[in-house]
This record gives sequence, structure tokens and C-alpha cells, in this order.
Amino acid sequence: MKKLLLRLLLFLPTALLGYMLMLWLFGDLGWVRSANTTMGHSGHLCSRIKDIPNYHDVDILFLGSSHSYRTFDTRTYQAAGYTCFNLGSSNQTPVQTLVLLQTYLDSIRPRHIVFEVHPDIMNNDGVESAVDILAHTPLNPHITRMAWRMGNMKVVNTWLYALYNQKICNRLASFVEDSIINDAAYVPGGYVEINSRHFEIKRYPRKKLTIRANQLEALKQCIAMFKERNIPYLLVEVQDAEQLRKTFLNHEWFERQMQALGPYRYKILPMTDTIHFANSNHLYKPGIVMFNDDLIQDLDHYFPKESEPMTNN
Amino acid sequence: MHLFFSSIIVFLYFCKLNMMFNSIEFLIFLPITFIVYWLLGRHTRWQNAFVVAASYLFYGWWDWRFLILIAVTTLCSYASGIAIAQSKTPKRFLWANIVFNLLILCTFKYYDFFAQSFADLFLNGKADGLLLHLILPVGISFYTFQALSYSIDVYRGTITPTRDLVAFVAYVGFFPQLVAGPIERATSLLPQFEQSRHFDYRQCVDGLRQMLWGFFKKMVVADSCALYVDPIFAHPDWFNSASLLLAAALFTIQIYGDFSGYSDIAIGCAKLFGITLRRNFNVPYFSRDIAEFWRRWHISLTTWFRDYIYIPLGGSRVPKARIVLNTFVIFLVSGLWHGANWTFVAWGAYHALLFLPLILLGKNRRYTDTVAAGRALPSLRELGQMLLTFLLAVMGWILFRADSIEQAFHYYGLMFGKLSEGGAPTTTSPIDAWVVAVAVLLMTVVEWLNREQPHEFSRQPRLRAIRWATYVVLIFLIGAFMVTKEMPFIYFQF
Repeated sequence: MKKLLLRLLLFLPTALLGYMLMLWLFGDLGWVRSANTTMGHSGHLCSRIKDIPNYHDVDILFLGSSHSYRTFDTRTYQAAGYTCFNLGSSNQTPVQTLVLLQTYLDSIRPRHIVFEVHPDIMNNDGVESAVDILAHTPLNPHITRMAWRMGNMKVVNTWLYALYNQKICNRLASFVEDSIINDAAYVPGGYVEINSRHFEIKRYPRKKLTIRANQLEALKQCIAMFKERNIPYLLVEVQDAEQLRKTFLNHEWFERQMQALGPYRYKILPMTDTIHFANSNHLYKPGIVMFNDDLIQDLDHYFPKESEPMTNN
Repeated sequence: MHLFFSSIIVFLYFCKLNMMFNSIEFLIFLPITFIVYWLLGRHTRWQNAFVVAASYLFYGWWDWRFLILIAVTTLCSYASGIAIAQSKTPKRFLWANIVFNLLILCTFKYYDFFAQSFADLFLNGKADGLLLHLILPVGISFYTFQALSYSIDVYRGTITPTRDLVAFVAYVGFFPQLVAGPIERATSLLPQFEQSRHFDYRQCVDGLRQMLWGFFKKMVVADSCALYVDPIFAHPDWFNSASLLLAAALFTIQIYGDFSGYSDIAIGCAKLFGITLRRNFNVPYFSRDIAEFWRRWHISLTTWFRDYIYIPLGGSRVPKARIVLNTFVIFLVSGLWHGANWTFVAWGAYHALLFLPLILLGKNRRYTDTVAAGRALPSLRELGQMLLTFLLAVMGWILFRADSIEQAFHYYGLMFGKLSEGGAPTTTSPIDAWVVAVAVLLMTVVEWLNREQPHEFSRQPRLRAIRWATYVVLIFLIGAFMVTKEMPFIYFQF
């Protein structure tokens, strides 16, 4: 027994070292499937993170998934008199939002927060978002803790590669992401403009909505952070195309769950799937304009002018 | 004992996830179990009690209610063993135990299937009110057969009934092989729990090595194949002939990688506890005919059927008409064992048809040795035989994989009907074809080199540095190329 344990004590560090060396070598060649080893993505998180130092004390900080960075057009809000920044990212679930807030909230110092929530995101495992953040955000203890807590090999591999990419090769700091990737154009301030449509008329299976316990807990922690800093917030659900929306069997239940967490806005505007949507769950340009105009009209109601500015901790 | 069971209940209360071999939970569970087990030293009874506690924890992780069923099956078989040995009418107790256990198995696994089939035939498919919609307890077919073999062996006098209840509970519920085999015999496993075990360094290292190879086969080979196979079987109409044929071939590899990978992990894991389990797969796709294939595929089940059904029916030492009947019975039952669906029955019938000519011509035991024994490569004839056997297996697996007989024939129709259209294989799945190709090739080469060894990853370089480098490369391949979404073992559903 002692011999086995001693050998294992010798083997395990050797295996870890060998594993990391091979991961870095083959990761550089782009061969590793269970990791995100490439920088640059149509979600433009890399550009967004590098943009953060240019934005502080903004009126509104937008958070959430691609529904956030593809819908809340910062230019529209600026034209309406709101300074803003969009910190959404691909498939960003509350677990990842929490990490981004822990890292950047106190440097952006927003006066108000618009937090995009969606039933599919609240039931997402967060792996896609985690690897996106690990590949495009400077590592810190919050991100590292999130990566290891997820218990997913793809996330762990991406973290190991990010360690090498950022700390040994220092590549992330010098990497410049293309401003247009696959028809997705980055707009300073975090918004991403999509210039193509792939709307398909499809039948989706009907489904009962559920919420993962860890996502709900993370969302509550995010809200606790806002309250602690006295930042008014609004949970917003962006409308889906009708063909997807009607497959949700218990959306009222989801609405009740969100309403219990604070101010929540879910408004169905008169839109046509084939005109206003880029795909079943993302608005296209005419829909984005209609949605944002409507939200801006309501902002005074949700964020009255007398709302307190944030106290900087 | 009270402490063990209390801790189990408390632990189960907090656990809601399945503990599969390829889960984080198992990665934590195994080292703790291993260390505590050997810390109990030579106290065999305590070790057995701990094995029982760990096994019930492992099994209860799926659903604690399953524990009731396995406990009932275990206690019933234990009591029947004693009753059979003491009674003047042992047959009565034997049949009581067989009927009781099969009743549980049939209720949970087959009742809805037969009720639905009855409704389809006589009630225009309206089975409302007839169906029970029971959850199928994981591994029920495996542990039921293991428990049954004990009472039959006691009746036959090949084993004396044990009075050591803890050892018997450990025998039925030993966690490495509890949910998907190998199906053990009391004659080989029970004595191991009754004797003291001694820590054997070489056995442990060999077990870890076998587990490593099992993880590679499951997490890289089988799961990668599944990514290609699943979308094609879901929508066969969207694909050309080459894609359909490739998907069928990859499913053939997937099911082998999945199930033999599981068996390797189970057998390797048992070795860590000083327990030797029987070999379940012996490079079946290197078989030269279908009879050899069945001697090498799911060995613990095929030998179970041979010993407890086929031979009692007279085996092959009966008139030819009875041989035909016996062969069909054994293959149809084997098919039905896999699941409550006519596809499995059809799969069994298909193999019976392939097997029959060999047994009727007395050629079913032509190949009892290993192909190309003592040689590096097979002859052209052997290669042709292996490819033909593989192809025959591929055609059978389509029946096994399909959701219904209609879907299977639809698949065959598309696969052969679109042959003239030509075209390269395609897929809708975001899969790296080269990863699948390299993984399958690596598995094939390693298993070919080890085909005469006790298991498929036995042969190792003598130099420790090279040996360790091999393990590290394999660990890297698993970590870097595994499919990261949850992929349960296929045979857990049986």
C-alpha cells in the first residue's frame, strides 16, 4: 500500500506536468477539442473587456447573454441621453455574470443596471460562457474559482491553456480582435451589430421551463451586489420569435420566479417573426429598434430621475 | 453497521446526481473507498461491511428507492440458498426464488412492453389504464441474473450455501460490477468475499492501467462515435448511403468502446479491492466467424445463458430440430434481456440465423484460439474473415440501435437504396472526423497487440519512464479529446 501511494505521489505531479505541456503544445496547434484555445470570437468579448477602461460612471450597465449584446444597442441609448456599457457575452449565465461583476463592477461604477434574463440561459450549464471568458479575460482569482467549481473538463482545460497563453506567453494583452467576425461588427461600448439574417421557419418541441439551482443562486448574489452598492436594477427578458415563444409551456411560472427577485420587464411587442427576428431567439434590426425605443420610454418609470447614484465602495 | 447505514442515508439526502464511472463524484468516491477499505486491514467482515455500505451508497446515488429492490432480491436469494440446501423439496424453493425474482424483473422491465404490444394487437393501440409507467431500476437485469445463478448453483450442488449474509450482500451488490456487469457467478466471486484479501501492488497497478484504458475507450472512442452516430440515426432521411453505412459502422465501434470500456473500468476497479472479476470482452471484432464473435462478446452474459438455459435445454446434443429451437430460444431471450423492444428480439433472431448454419454444420467451434496467434499480422484470409464478421455485426447493430423495427428497415432501405447516388459521408454534428479516426485506429492497434493478453492494455514497456509516458499520453488524450457533455453508458439502460 505504501509503495503504491508513494508511486502515485510521484506519478501524479509528473502526469500533471506532462499533461500541461502537451495541452499547451497541442493547444497552440489548435488540435485540442476539449478546450477553447483560440482568441477572437463573434461575441467580441475580447474587444469588450479591453474597452472597459474607457467606460466608467455610466448611466446604464447592460448584462446578460447574446440577447444583451445583440439587442441593447448602446448607440440608441446614447442618443437618448444615457451613457452606457454592454457587458453581455455569449451564453452568459448568472454564474459568469457574477464573476464579471466581481471583476469589473467597481471600475465601471454604473448608476443603473439592466440585467437580461432568459429561460434557456437560466437552465444553461454555463460551459460555453465560461470558456469564452477564460479565453478572453485576464485571469484572476474569481475566474479561477469559477472555472474549477464548474467541474467540467473543457472549462478546466481552457483555464490551463489560458494560464499558459496569458501568464507565460502574454498573448492576450497584445491580441487585437478583428472588429468584424462573421458578419458581427463590434461597436465601442459593447454592442455587436449583426448584419445577416438566418431566420428559419421551424417547429420546436414544446418544453417545460426549469431553472438550475446554481444559476438562481448566482442571480441572487448578483442582485445582492447591486443592493449592497445601492444600484437600481431591472431584470429584462427580451422577446423571442413567436415560433419559439409558444413552445414554452409554463412561461408564467418563469415570470413569477423573476418577479420575486425584483423589478422585471417582459413585454410582447407586435413583431413579425420573419421581419423582426434574425433567428428564433435574437431580434434583427427592425426588432431591435422597436424594442429599444419601447424600453427607453419605460426607463423613467423603472429608474426615476431621483434614484440615488451609486456609492463607491 | 448502524453508523454505516446512517451515513448512507444522510449522504443520499444531499445527493441528487448519478454517480457514473466517468463523473467527478466517482473520482472522489473511489480513492476514499479504496483507502478506507485497506485501512480496515485483515478484518474481512469489516471490509465486507464497508463494501456493502459503499456499494449501496453508489447505487442509491441514482435513486434511493432502487435500494429496496436490490435488498429484496438479495435477501430472497440468500434465504432460498439456505432453504434449498436444508429442504427435502429443494426444487420448490429454487422455483420460488426464480419466479419471484423474474416477476420483479418482468414487472419493472417488461410489463409495459407486453401490455402495449397486447393493446396494439387487440385494442387498436389504446393502452391507457394498462400501463404502469414504472422507472426501470438501473442494473436490475445484471444483479437479478447474478442472484439467480447463486440459487441455481446451490440447487445443482456446485456451491454450498453461504450463511455469511454480509458476504452475500457484497457478492450481489459489489459496486464496480453492480450496474452493468460483468455478471459474476457465486462459485468465483462469493469465495473471494469469504476469504481474507491481501493488498497486492501489482494487481492494483494492473487494475489502474485497465481502468485507464477503459476510460479512453468510453470517453474518447465511444463518445466521439456517438456524436457522429446520434444525429444520423435521428434523421436518416437527410443523409446519403455512405453516411448511413459509416454511422452504422461507428455505432458498432461505439457500443464496443462503451460497454467493453465500462467492463475494463469495472474489472480494474475490482482489482483495487483485491477482487478478480471475469473477463467480459475478448477482442470480439477480431473474430473470424459469428460463433467466435459470441464467444468473445459480453462473455459473462453469453456463458450465463449457455450454462443456465442452453445446456439444460439439451444444448447441441439433441436432434437437429431441437438444436434449431434451442439456438433460437437462446438468442431471442438474449435479445429480450437487453430491453423491452421488438428491435432487440429481431437483433437476437438475426444472430440466431447467422449462428445456425455454423452449428448445424458442426463448424461453430472452428476458431477457439486467437487470430494470428504468435504472428504480428493476420493472413489475407483471416483479414477477410474478420472484415466479413465485422460487417455482419454492423448490420445487426442497426436493429439494436433503431427505436423500432420500422425505423430499422427504413434505415436499411435508405442505406442500400441510395447506393447509386454516391457521395462522401456527411454529418450535421460539429465533430472532428480526424479525432474519431485517430482514436479508433489507436484502439484497434493497441487491442490487436494485446489480443493474446489477459486484457487489452496488459502489455507494457519494461522501462518505467516509457511506461509512465504512455500513461500520461493516454491521460492527455482522455482530457483533451473527451466529449465534455454527459454521456451515460449505453448498457446502464439494460
